[in-house]
Amino acid sequence: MTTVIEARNLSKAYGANRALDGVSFSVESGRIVGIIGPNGAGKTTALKGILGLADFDGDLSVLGRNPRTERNRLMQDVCFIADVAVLPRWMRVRNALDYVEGVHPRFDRARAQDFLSRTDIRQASRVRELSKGMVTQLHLALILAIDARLLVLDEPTLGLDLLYRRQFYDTLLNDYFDKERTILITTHQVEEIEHLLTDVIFLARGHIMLSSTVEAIPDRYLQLTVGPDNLSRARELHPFYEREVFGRTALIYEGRTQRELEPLGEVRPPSIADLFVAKMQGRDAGRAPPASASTAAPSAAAGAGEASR
Amino acid sequence: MNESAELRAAAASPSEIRAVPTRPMLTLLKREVWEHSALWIAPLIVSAALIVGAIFARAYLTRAMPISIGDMAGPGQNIRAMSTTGAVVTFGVMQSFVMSVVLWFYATACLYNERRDRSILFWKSMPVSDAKTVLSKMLIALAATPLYVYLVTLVTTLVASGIVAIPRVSGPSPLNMWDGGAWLRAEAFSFVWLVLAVLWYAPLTAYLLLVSAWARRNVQLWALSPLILIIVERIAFGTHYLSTWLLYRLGPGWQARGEEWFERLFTGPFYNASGGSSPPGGQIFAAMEPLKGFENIDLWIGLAVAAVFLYLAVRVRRYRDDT
Repeated sequence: MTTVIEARNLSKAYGANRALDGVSFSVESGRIVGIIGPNGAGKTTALKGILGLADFDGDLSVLGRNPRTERNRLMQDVCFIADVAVLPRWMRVRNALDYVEGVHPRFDRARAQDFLSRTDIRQASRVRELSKGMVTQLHLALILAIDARLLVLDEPTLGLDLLYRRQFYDTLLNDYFDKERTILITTHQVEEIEHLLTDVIFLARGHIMLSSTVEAIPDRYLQLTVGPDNLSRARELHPFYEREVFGRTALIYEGRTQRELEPLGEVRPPSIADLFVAKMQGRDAGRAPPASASTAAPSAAAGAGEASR
Repeated sequence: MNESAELRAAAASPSEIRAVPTRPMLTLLKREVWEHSALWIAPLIVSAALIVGAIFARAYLTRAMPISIGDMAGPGQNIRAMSTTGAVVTFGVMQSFVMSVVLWFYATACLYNERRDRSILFWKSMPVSDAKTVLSKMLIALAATPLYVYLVTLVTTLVASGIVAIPRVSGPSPLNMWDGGAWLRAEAFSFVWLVLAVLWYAPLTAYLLLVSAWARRNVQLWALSPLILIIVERIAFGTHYLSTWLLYRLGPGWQARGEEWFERLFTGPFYNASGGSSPPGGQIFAAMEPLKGFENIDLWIGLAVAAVFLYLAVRVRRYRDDT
């Protein structure tokens, strides 16, 4: 296992807005990492840094290269889908295949065509004639046929209906992913992808709120569902988030053991979606101050992000 | 190059076995032709119009001027040379005019549209450098399109001349307006003229590419913004250095020697006619001195400026982030 992305102290400001504020993380090969955060959390900014599309402060190494200075070489090993609908609308499907074949040394046209043959996309169609879902399928067909080591997906299924979304991720997992490859996905639709992630990074207001493998989450976080009788006792154990569901209360704890919680009610690991909401809205959320607030707090939050790995 | 690309790929990832040879520049040029179809359609439309014109001309001329043919073998050689040269020059000027308009819109759009529709994120996901991309657009504007237009025009001239010369089934025979020597000379002249014009306007083309890479909106307005400076100069200083200079740069400055040729091109046949036979090709080219156009130092200064604009366009495309 090798380190695919190594980010140290990434910062980026758009005017007064600090899109990224001292963010550090690393991504190992063979992982599927979800960068999850609300809109404006800095997800796209982080990806643009990784792809060498935008400038930033801090150190960043992608596949051992500097994305700012070695962008062109890096792009042979890195693919990305920025979001749906960035394929040029005037382009014909056939031309898209011709183009990628002409410029990308790792493109396997037969593979892309094979994938397209399983869809309703015709080679003579122009992108503008395709539905949003079909454009995504086409883009996916192009990307899947490129033998890249890192695939970056920025909100890849935005605006797609459920069928296309499901199909998109199934294809990604079944036809593309293997131990040699790494996938980095940003999204704010957590439920969609949580079953396929191996790692999560929660990002809010330019700070990392949580960075963890999915396996490690149950060791640190537990969700307890209690009836009204046990609620006050459950609260004594300092949950950082609680939510009432059908008369029962779900509480999320950090650093509590199964044994401590079990007597009070039903204990299970929180879903990534629940944990995300808890982190964003719960007690911890205060640890990431708004961009204009004091400068002391951000470094603490970044530290927390690192420590949580 | 492909071999070294393979080596580098193999070095980068040992597990990698396949690295298909690519043709990036050719592919980039193809992309421009797919995206900007006006580049190849517009000259064909002009040609179609010219050929339709030739069909009418043939029908009309043979009826309107039956006397000039009469019992003569055909028009005199100088008339034929004049008309052949005239056809080449007229067709060339019309095609050049349309090409200028098409290339103006091409140059202002080619780096702007991809940002406007965000497809730049797709282009940038491919291992193609910004320098190569910008260069491909400059090659389209400076070499591929002019060459294509030249060839289309050449064929059009031949077809139109052929149509005019089609014999009638009955009635008076058509005008034979063809002079092969004059045609060859006029085509050679046109070619040098075109090369000089393209090089002369290279800084303008590069400037438009830079504006196209830079403008966030209203790319046409930005392209025309130097005109505002002219007005400012007028009002603020009461001078017109800028407008004089711009007019020189935008005008046919590469023809510093061109007018002289023009004269020779048209008067040549008369001199020849008085001298008897048409001069051999070598003498004609010697008389034209086409290379003299390259002696204008402003042409070369302009090319250096174009290189600077291109460099800036590459930088802007590389580092501008407005998606």
